[in-house]
Amino acid sequence: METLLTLTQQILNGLLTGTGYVLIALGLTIIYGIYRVINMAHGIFYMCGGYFCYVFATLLGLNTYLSMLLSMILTGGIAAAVERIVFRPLQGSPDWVFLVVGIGLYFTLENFGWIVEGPLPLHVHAYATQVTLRTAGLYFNLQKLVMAGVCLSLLLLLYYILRRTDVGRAMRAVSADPEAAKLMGISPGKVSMVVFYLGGAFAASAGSLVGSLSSINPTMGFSPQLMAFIIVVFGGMGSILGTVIAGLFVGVFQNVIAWAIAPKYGYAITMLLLLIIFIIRPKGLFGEKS
Amino acid sequence: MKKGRLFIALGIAAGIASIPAIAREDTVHLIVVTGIWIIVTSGLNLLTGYMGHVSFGQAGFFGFGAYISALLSKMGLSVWLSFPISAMVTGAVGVLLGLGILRLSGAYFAIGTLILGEVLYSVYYNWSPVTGGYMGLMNIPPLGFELPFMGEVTFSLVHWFYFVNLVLFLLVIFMRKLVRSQFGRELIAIRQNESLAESLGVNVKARKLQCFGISCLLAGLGGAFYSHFMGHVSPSSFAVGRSLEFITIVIIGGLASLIGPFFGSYVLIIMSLYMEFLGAWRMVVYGLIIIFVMMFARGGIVSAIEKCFGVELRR
Repeated sequence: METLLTLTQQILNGLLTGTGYVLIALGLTIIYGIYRVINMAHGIFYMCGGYFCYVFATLLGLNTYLSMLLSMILTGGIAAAVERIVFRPLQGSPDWVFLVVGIGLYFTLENFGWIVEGPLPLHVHAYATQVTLRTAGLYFNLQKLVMAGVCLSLLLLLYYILRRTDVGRAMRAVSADPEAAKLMGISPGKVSMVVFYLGGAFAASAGSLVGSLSSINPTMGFSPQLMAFIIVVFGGMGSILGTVIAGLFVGVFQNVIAWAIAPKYGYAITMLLLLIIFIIRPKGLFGEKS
Repeated sequence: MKKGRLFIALGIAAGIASIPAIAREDTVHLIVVTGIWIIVTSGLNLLTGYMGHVSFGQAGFFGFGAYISALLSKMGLSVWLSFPISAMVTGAVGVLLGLGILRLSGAYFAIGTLILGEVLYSVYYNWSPVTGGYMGLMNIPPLGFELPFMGEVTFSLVHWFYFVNLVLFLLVIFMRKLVRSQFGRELIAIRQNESLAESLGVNVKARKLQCFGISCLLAGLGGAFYSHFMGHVSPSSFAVGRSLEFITIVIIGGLASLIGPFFGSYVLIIMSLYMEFLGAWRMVVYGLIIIFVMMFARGGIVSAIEKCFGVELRR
C-alpha cells in the first residue's frame, strides 16, 4: 500500500514534470512542422523567457503570472526576429546548415546571457512555489499544478489557432504543401514568423514556470532543449498529439526509474530507452508516413 | 618539379620541428592539444564531410578512448599498447552501436548521435566505481620510453609535440590514400545519393559501418592521447558541448577536405586565445562567426582561401 502510494506520487510528479517538457517541445514541433528542421537554439527562448520573467516579477515586482505573460510576448518577438534575420535567408539549404546555425545562435545568445545576467543564479519571485497541497496522501506543489494548467490552456489555444483561425489554416497549408500554399496566396515567410513567435512564447512560459521552481541562469536552456529534441523525435516530428504524449511519458518514465532504480540513473536509462525506441521506429510513435 | 616539392616539404617539416625551440611552453602545449583535436575531427570529417552524416556525439567516443586507455594503463599495461587497443576497442564499439544508429539518416542520425553522446556521458558521470564519477580519473600513467643506459624516460612536452605531429603526418597520408581509393569515392557517392549509390553496386550498409567505425576509432585514439597527455580525465571534457565543438571545427574548416580540420582546429583555438581582449564577449563573437560562416561562406575556411587565392586545396 505504501509502495503503491509512492508509485502514484511518482507518476503524478512525472506527469507534472512532463507538462514542462511538453511546453518546450510544442514550440519545437510546430517549428518543425513548417520548417522541416530542428531548431537547435530553442533552449535560448526558454532561458530568455525565464530571465524576462525574473525581470518583471522580481525586479519590477509584478505578479508572477502577468510577468510570465509579458515574458511570453517579448520572447515571441525575439524568436520571430531570429527567424527573420537568421533562418529565413537559409531556406532551401541542407538540414545540417540549420543545425549548425542553431548551435551558433545558441552559443551567441547563451554567452550574451552571461553578460546580461551575470554568473549567479537568479530567483523568480513566485508565491505558489511555497504552497504544497495534500490530498489522499499525495502532495502537490501549487506552482507545478499551475504549470499543468498553463500547459493545458496553451494546448487549447494552439488547437484553436490551428483549427479556427486564418493564420492557423495557413500554417497547416504550408506544413502540408509549401508550394501549393504559395500558389494559393499564402506567404510562407509570415507563417514562419508566426510559428516562431508561438514557439518562442511557449518556450518562454516553460522557462518562467520551471525557472520559478528552481532558478534562472544562462545555461538553464541546454538540457531541457536536449530533452525537447528527443521528445519531439519520439512523438513523431511535427505531430502535436505525439509530442504531448511523448512529453508526459518521458516525464513519468524518468521519475519512476529514478525512484525504482537509482536517482542518478534516471536520466541515463531514459535516454537509452529512447535511443532504442528511436532506432526501432525512426519516425517516432506518431510520425507521419513518409 | 618533384625535387622542388620535396624541398618545400622538407622546409615545412624543419619549420615545424623547430617550433619547440622557439615558441613559449604554453604555445607548444596548445599545439599538442590542437593536434589531438585534429585527429578526432579528421575522423569526424570522414563521416560528416565525405559521407554526409552529421554526428553530435563524437565526444562520447573521444571519452570512451580516454577512459579505456586510462583504465588499461592503470591496470599495468604499457601505454604504448593501450593506445592501439583503446582505439580498436572504441572503433569496435562504434561499429556495434553503428549497427543500430546507422539505420537513421539525416537529421534523425544527428539527433540519434546526440542521444548516444548523452548516454555515454551519463555512464562516465555516474559509473563511479570504474570511471571515478564526476571527479574522473587521476594519476594516469604518463607516456615513456626505455633508453639503453638512462632507463625509463617520461615523455616531456617536447616529446609529445613531435609524437603528435608524427601521428598527424601518418594520419594525413593514410586519409589521403583512403579518400582517393574506391572506398572514399563510395562514401562520396553515398553522400550525394544513397539509393543511386546502392543501385550502382555500392554496399551502402557496409561502407556506412566502416566509415562510422573509422571515425570512432580516430576519436578513441585522440581520447587515449588526451588522457595520457593531460594525466587526468573527467566527464566534463566529454559532454555535449565538446561534441558541438568538434562538429563546428569540421564545418568551419571546410567539409570534405583533408586540410579542413587543420584550419578549423587552429583557427578556433587561436581565436579563443587572441580574443581575450574581448573578455566575456569572446564566446558571443565565436557564436556569431559560426552563424556568419554558415550564412555567407558555407564551404568554410578552405573554400574561402580557394576563392581568394585561386588555389586548389581540396585534394
